[in-house]
Amino acid sequence: MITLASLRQLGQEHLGYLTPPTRQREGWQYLRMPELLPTATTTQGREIATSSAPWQSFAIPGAYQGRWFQGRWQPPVGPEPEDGELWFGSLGDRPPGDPLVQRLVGLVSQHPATRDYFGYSNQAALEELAILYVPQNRAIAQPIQILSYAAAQPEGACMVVHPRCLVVLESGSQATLLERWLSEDGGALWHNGVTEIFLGPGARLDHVMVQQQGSSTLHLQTTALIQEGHSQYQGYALALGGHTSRQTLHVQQHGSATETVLSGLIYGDGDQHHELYSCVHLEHPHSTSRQLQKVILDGHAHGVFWGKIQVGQKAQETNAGQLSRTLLRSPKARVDTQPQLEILADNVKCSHGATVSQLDADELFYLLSRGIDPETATRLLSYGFAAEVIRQIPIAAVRQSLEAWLMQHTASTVPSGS
Amino acid sequence: MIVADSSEVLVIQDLTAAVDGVPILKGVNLAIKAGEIHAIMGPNGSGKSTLSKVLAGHPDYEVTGGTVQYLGQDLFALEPAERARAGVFLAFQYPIEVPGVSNADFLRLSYNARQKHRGLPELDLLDFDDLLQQKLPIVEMNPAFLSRSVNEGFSGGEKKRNEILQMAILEPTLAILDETDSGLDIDALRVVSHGVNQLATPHNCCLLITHYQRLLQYIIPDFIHVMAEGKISLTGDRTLAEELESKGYDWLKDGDG
Ligand SMILES: Nc1ncnc2c1ncn2[C@@H]1O[C@H](COP(=O)(O)OP(=O)(O)OP(=O)(O)O)[C@@H](O)[C@H]1O
Ligand SMILES: [Mg+2]
Repeated sequence: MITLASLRQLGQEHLGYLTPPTRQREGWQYLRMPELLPTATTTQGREIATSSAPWQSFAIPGAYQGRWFQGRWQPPVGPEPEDGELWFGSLGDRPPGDPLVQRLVGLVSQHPATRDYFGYSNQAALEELAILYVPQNRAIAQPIQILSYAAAQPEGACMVVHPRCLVVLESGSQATLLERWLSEDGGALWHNGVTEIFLGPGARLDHVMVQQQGSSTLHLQTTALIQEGHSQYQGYALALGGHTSRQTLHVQQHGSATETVLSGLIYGDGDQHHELYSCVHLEHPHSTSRQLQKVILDGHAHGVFWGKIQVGQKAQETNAGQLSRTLLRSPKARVDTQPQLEILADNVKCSHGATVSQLDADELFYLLSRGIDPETATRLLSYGFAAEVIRQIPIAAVRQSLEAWLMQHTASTVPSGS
Repeated sequence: MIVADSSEVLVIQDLTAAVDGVPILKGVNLAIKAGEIHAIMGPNGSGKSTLSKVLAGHPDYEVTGGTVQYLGQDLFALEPAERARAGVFLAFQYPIEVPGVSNADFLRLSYNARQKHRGLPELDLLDFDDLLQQKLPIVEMNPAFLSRSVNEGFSGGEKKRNEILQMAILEPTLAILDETDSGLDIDALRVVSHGVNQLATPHNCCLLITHYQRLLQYIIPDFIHVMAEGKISLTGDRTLAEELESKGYDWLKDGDG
């Protein structure tokens, strides 16, 4: 019987053989590893009450909301869906011998993207496993939100949290999941999260990920996804906060006519460093993968987009498109983009492109010529640049809060008349 | 209309301007009084759009000499956004697309900037929407264009209508329309001209840049100027347009080239 304890032990064993990746490792050249990792860590946060975290400001009307607080899982709150068979909670809710429990724990660490130093670090610290389980042919209308909040001690060892979530949508089911990662600005925090997702045949998941960590946070997050045939995944990954962040999105298509759509926004300012590593692996015919990544960088910020698309030999008549667009708002900002296409099938439609630009002088002049002040005009243009990603987000409250966030962060002064 | 004793809105004297060090405007002189409509015609590349961009303050164009007084003040002392708020409006020959910024937001921000400058109240979303509903019929524009991104995917004619809608909302003192008639079908030309005429008052003035006499049958100019090689080479009344249409520009050259 697999238990949390046995998983933890397995994680520790694997971790024993692994070391953090160095810059020599493919895909890790832009992070100063292992120096970036804290030498001393603690799981102890600042002494605060659960209720003092800013849950309210991030609540989504009507959403069913589970929480990671100081690295520990809290039972969900908010309106429960009428469908009693939905399971949103944690593994500990049910007896270990329960067949469903055994099935779910059997999925942990099955995806190759979770089997690295960070994945096993997470597994080695596994105390709880958050579960979202949607039975066959159920469409859950209300959004499911998983909020993660941590407040580290202002001084001393770096706090570390390893939230882990397992999301399983059985065949023909549908859900909208929002993961939002937050922390206090003050003390040093290392977030090392893993979310594993399994979409059954014909299932559909809309998945919004918003990283709005505090300014002293190192955010490492792996999202590992396996999609069965005819399933649809639409992921939105927004990296806005933290000091250094790296999100890995790894998708494996395990059936034909599978659809993967990834939209991303990186916004960096000051000395922030954001990385998005994505890999979509198409192995079956008639599948599609579309990806749009926007990057806005200001100050000395550094953005990295590394997008791999692998089309295996059997993936005939597939369609894979990737576009990354970067807006550099400051001469000191820097971006590295690397599309990687590995195509073995011969009947494939594949396109990719990457653009890097500054604010368009003619667009700017057009706004100025209508009396809009330069500050507001640059803000509007930056906002407009990101809008393509933001506007697709299927949860109105998230869309609005992101719009407001962007409006605030893309200019230092608040414009008149809005 | 020519109004007796009306004040001068724009006085351009010996204006020269260059782009990338290449002189384009080579001594432009022009004065426009309140209430008047002036048209500028002239061959391609003679500097008409350059003049309009210089007046609006486009950073690509360097003013190398001369003066421009706007309402008695040095126009060049004002930043582009300040000129707009002070009532200078340029309808672009090629209106710019601004992806991701909704037309309604754009219009409201522009309007409120102008209101604030005049010491008038700014409008919130709802009140501004009311204002828009009043102004839309002037250019017979479909309200659906308000929620779309500024000019993005608009046809050539729709972009031009959108320019005149902006003009209707901003109520400029000096409107410079750079080939607003180009690319318009007959109906759109009528709509746009009608819009411009509706907006004309004894207190504002208009500078029309056009290649076609046709526009000038709808919007009756008080003066027509011909621009050639960076200068106003000839000024006449509205009959000049017909003459130019039949004879072209060659006869204006003094034959020494
Ligand atoms: N931004 C620019 N960079 C380089 N050259 C320019 C620029 N703007 C104008 N010019 C040049 O200046 C000259 C005048 O151009 P302008 O656009 O003012 O002409 P125009 O009279 O408006 O012509 P048209 O009737 O074709 O619109 C042209 O030779 C043009 O190539
Ligand atoms: Mg021109």
